[in-house]
Amino acid sequence: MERVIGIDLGTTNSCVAILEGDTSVVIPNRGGYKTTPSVVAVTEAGKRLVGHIAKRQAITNAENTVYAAKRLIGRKWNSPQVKNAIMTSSYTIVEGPHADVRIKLRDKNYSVPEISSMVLQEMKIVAEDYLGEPVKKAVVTVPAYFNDNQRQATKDAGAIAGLDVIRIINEPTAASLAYGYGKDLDRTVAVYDLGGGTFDISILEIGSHGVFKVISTTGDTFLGGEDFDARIIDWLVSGFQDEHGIDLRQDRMALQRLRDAAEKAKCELSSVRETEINLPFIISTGRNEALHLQRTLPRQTLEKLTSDLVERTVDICRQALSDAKLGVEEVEDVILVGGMTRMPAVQSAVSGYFGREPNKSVHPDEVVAMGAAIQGAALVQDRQDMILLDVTPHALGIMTFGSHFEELIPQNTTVPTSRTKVFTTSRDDQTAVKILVMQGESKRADENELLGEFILTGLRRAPKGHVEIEVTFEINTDGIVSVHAKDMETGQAQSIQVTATSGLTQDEIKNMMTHAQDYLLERRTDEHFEAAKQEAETLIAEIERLFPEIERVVGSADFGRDAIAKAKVTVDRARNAIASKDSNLVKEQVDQLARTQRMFKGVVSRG
Amino acid sequence: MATHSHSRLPKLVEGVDLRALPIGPAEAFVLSRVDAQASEADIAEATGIPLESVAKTLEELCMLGAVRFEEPERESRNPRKPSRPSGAFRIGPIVEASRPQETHHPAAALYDPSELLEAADLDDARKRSILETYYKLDHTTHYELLRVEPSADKRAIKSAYYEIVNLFHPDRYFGKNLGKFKAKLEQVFSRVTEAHDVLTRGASREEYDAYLASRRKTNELISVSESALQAEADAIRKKIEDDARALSAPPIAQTNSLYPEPRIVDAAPNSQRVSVRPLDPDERKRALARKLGRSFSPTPTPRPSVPAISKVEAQGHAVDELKRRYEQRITQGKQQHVDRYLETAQQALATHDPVAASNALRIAESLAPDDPAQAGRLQDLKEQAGGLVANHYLQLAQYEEREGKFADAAASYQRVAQAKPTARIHERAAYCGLMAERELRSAGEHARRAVALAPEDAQCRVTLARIYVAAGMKQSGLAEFERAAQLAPKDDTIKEWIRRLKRGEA
Repeated sequence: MERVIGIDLGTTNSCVAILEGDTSVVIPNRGGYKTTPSVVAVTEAGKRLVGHIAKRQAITNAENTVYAAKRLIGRKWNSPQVKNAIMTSSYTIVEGPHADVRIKLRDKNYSVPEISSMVLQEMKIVAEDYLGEPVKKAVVTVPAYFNDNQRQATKDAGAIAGLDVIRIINEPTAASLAYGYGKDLDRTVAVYDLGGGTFDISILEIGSHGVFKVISTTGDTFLGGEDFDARIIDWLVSGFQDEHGIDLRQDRMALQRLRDAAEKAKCELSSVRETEINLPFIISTGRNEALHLQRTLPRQTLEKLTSDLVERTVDICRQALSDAKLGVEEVEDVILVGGMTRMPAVQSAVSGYFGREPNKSVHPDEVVAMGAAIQGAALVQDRQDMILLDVTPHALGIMTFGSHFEELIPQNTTVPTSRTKVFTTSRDDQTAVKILVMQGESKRADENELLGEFILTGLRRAPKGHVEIEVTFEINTDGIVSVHAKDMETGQAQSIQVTATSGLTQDEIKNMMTHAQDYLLERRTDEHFEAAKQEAETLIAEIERLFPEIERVVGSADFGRDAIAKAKVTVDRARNAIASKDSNLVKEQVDQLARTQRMFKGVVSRG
Repeated sequence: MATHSHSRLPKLVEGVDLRALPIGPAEAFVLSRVDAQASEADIAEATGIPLESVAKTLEELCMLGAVRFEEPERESRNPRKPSRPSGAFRIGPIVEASRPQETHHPAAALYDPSELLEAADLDDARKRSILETYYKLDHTTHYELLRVEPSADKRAIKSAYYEIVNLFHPDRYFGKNLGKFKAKLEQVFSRVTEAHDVLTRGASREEYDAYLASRRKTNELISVSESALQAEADAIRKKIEDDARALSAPPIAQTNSLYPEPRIVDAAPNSQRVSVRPLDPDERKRALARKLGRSFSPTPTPRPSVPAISKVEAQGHAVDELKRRYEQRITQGKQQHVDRYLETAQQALATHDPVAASNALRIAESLAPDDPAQAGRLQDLKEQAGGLVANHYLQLAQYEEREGKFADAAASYQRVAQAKPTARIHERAAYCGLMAERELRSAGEHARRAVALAPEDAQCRVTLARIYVAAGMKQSGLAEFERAAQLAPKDDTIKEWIRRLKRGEA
């Protein structure tokens, strides 16, 4: 049976897991860490860095280091979220060819799915190293509140990374799987997921027969740990401005240092009552005078700075329960997910609202990937002990006359589903209608997300309101939306499969896939070369160490001189091979070197 | 359309204006051979037209209402009736449950068995259960679908739902080739989920239960069989007779307290007294005549005054009287019962209970009241009840039409049409039948009645025309559209239809 990995592609950190037997196991990366920073950088030499190594060099390479790309994925260039990101990011965001977003790194523009694919590829490699076999299939998680364009962009990122994303599932839902899988529970739970960039709340019923049914889900895709960090940065920047009259935001390197310091301080304040922020030589004045930043941040201050953010999450929880038509007392357990839930103020707000202590049995950083791995295994296994019933997080509908949004599939409808509604023409003698498929909760169409459009033509001429058009929306298990429009009297029909757009064309995706594969090949070759080079260098050092002794023992004999000369040639060849950066050549020389070394050792031990 | 055996006997429908039929010479030729004697095969032989063509033409003529077939109506597939008992009890998972049903349930007829041959990575039992559930979706209540009793609590409903979801969620078969079963599974799942969602939310369950109750009420109307009512009426009649017999038997004293003694009954005791009198006037005259030695011719006297009654005669008279008394009591008893049932009906009408009202009225009617006042009242109440029933069905029909349950809506409109045979109702019944894409023949029947009732209404004709087109009878459809176009010359919709039909598009 083919193995399916589960990947939690987070805003700040990513995590990969796999089901081993009946337990979901988080796979550590080469550094031994169970999560990998979702950071991608390109060095001056054009080398790509992903994860911890990318994060570590961020300060010295701020303009070419991308973090929190998830906040941009599937977004349109002119969306307020992108405008906001342009203001606060240390990297350069430019407009793409399809009104999408591109990130400029070392004179090359990368699409957001491409950046995310680099992180996914890294997670894939982590899993392959652990399993010792290639991995092709994955379940990737996204915030529940992601719209279809964002989901599609994530799927594209998977494809670029060479992964067949067999299912996109929601992060809080995944967390509930990890929480309830194999336990034969029967209860209603709330999953409070405050991650690096997004906030989700889902209300679920975990029932007999391994059924996990989401009742309602809602959230905010621009509310997360980054916003908490931003409050600390604001606080530091404005304090510095007051003191020195200098705006630290103007300096990208300073901003990156502030960002790191803010995140670190925030994490520390989860366990201590106050923390010191110390950034020497943060900036220099015009007269070459270095300025330092040093401030103490008490937990209380942080809580005051961020109290409205926490309050917002509680409001969203209230909304989720009202959508689920449940009272807060009907929730039998609350699961906390995401690093931000370590913050004491968040925990007390949650227990205050739900009237119970949240469950601490799951690891907030790892539980989502674990759940994704469970879903992946459940899908491909024949023995199926789990069924996940998720809902559409957003209403689906069409735009009608006067730019109204007419909903067909309401929010929180269990998928797969289909709904039909009859519409009429809005003008006399109208012979065609344009069906604009939209997603969102606003009554005004232009405030919702456009998913796709098509035109139904060949309507007969008739007074307005006389032609009836039956529109059917269908969402299948894979989350694909199909829309079917039919003239009810003539039977004239038109339908499309709405493929949400990530802002990339199929050709672009194909191209990027090739690039990613090239990179992988290069990287693998690099790795092989590095390993061979190391081996060769060790052997060379060993041989050279033995030269004087060999000279002493057999240097007087002809065969000895001959052997020494041969060994010298071998070492030179090996050095040349290393210089040529050809890992195959180096490998060949490694064999020769090893033979020489063995012979030398034999001579020395006899002598 | 289903295949028919060709032994059917076509007959002309009486009162149809054959000249007005939208048919061509070929149809007319076949029609001319329909004589209630020749079967389809006979006609084919006589005309030399292939049997299939004859059958097809006759089908069309049947659609047009010109011809009917002499054969027992196939068991009507009233969706509600057969499924009622099956859902009343929980009988375990659907896979197992569906099998024993096959024998007595027309489930086998729900789908074309060739669908089982559709390629898919599923075993036959699974395919069968998917198809059976899928084709029953339109006809089952939420409770039946989830296989729970209507009294089931939320927990039981959820548990049943989870069990069914495990069978019908497409993820169960992830990565397998499901062919056409995938869309079916998705639809089953979606319907099962709708059932769960409706039944586990207090307000929506109440609303749904109210709809079901209303539907059940109308089902009761359908399901109360004529014979059951007849049996009840017979029982009442027997009781009246028994009572009357008991009452008309002596002793009288006992009965006095129950029924006021009618005056005529007095005749009997009188006759007894007559017999003890020594002689009546005629006898004395005769005796006198004998004495006088001349014959005696009795003066003709009206009967009551005549009797010079012997003992036997007196007894016969008493039997007559008894019989009269008995019949009298029967009439009275019947009147009382009719009164009682009329009263019940009136009360039921006051509480808007059409089932109780119409049942009471049907019994009252079968007692055949001859009192004109009662008969009048019965007629009056019958009309009221009919109106109530029709209203009830109208509400159902409108709800069903709105919900897109056209097959149900068509059935409900047909019921309305029985009480309120207006053009509008017939047209709706026809339209819903058309939309349900089945039972086109009965849809055509209703459309024709609508046209007959409102010959000047273009809408009725358009519906009829569309039914013809749907049944594949384009020429008939075109003819009907053209008539509609004459009635509504400005309607572009009709023009467009005509244009399409002429171009052979539709």
